[in-house]
Amino acid sequence: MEKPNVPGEDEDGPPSQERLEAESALELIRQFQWGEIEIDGVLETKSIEESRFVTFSELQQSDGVHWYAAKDAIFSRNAFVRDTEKKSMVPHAAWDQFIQSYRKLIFNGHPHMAGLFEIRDCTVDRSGSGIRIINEWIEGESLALILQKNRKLPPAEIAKLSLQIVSALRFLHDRHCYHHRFDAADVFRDHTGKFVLIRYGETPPLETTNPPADADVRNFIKLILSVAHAQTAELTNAILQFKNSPASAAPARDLEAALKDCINQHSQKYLRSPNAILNIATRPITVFKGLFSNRKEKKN
Amino acid sequence: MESENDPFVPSAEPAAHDLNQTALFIQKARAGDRQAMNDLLNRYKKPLERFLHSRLSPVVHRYQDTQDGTQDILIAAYESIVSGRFEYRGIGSFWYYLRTSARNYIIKKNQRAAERGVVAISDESALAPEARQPSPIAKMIGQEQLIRYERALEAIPEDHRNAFLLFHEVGLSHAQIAEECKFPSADAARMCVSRAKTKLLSEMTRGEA
Repeated sequence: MEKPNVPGEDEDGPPSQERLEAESALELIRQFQWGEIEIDGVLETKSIEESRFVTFSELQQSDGVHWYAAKDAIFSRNAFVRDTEKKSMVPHAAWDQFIQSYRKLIFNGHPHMAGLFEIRDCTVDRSGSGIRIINEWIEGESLALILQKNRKLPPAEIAKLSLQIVSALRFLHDRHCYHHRFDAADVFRDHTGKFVLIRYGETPPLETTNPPADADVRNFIKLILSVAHAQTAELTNAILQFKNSPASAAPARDLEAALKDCINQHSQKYLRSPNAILNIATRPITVFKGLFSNRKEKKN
Repeated sequence: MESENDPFVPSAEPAAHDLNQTALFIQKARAGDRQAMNDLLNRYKKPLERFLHSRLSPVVHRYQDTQDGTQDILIAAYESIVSGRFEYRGIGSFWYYLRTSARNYIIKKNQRAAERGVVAISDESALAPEARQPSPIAKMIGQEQLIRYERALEAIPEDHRNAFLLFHEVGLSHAQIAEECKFPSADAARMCVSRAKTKLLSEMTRGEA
């Protein structure tokens, strides 16, 4: 049997001076490693995330918001960096709480939301206190730009846009993330034709009573109605049902279900093959006249 | 509630700072899952940062951030994992791999600092060369003791070393070490750590008596 180990004692008797010094060294190494000994306060200067994203080009600047292109040094990919002055977002004392709840989206994304890499405090314009949000880089064009070029969207594209973005908004609402100032510039269409929210959840949870929590969904509905063609009557009706509905329900969830029903009812292939929507969307608009009408009529 | 069939519902959120998922993350990272790699590296960031910070000379600190070094080492680790050059044999071996990379990094930086010391810089500059200074940890326990510690770590058996490092440097509990190193119980892990420490101390004091 091996002799039980007694701390500080050699096998041959009391510990030597060297042994005691070595033990002391081990303990100090452990304390350094566990952060029990602080070294000149340098440790807390920068997190790896701060040095990880290197901004290399300012893309846009407006109303206290700066957009940058950045490089993710670890994964060699591009990223969107958005610095927003706190005062230009909804003012609230509970910023820490907001950042904590937003931060959960880092590990918990959605296919129609630009991935969140990081959110933290920052300095805007060298003096203002701000929030830095770092998102996945989406290769494509904004919905605002698309609408600038084509004032209306074809029905298939509207259906796809509605379902994808409402699904993302519903996902965010389930996590108490809201974005009152939703507009067309917050949505991108990537090179595969998928719509992606690039700006979301910037309203702290406690600020969601006025305007109501679903302000982003209602803004989105307004947007959809303004860009839909007349031929999308049934889809438009499905959306219209929620335009004036009371705010007490969960409109994003209900609207998503109604959109699915509507699209499923009139075009099974929409849900089975999302790519079909994109293919159809590139054809001339006349093809879509009967798209949302009864299938039997369409065959006839 | 979200249904299981909903294609938009992502996987569950991983528990933060859980090193026991290292093997899983490495497996996913090798399969191309970048988020898994990000999670993995973030879990080892802090211990590695502390390791570097306590061992880098203040002279090096003048021009080299600990965080930059941590990042360089983690990027190299990422490349090794993805390319398959690194063979995973447990959390202990992974940490030993990272700290060995960190030690090599420190040696390289100290050499460069010495080279920089030769270059003439204005005395008023913050980068002005000065006499070589020991790292914070070497200042506290002595450079020789630190060298003895590193040599002793290389001399003891790998399983003992891993168990010791997991407890001493990474900060896992005995129960976690038992699970990771396949010991039958937390007490068995405690015993192994204790024996490793005894061997380590013997190695550190060898030839001094």
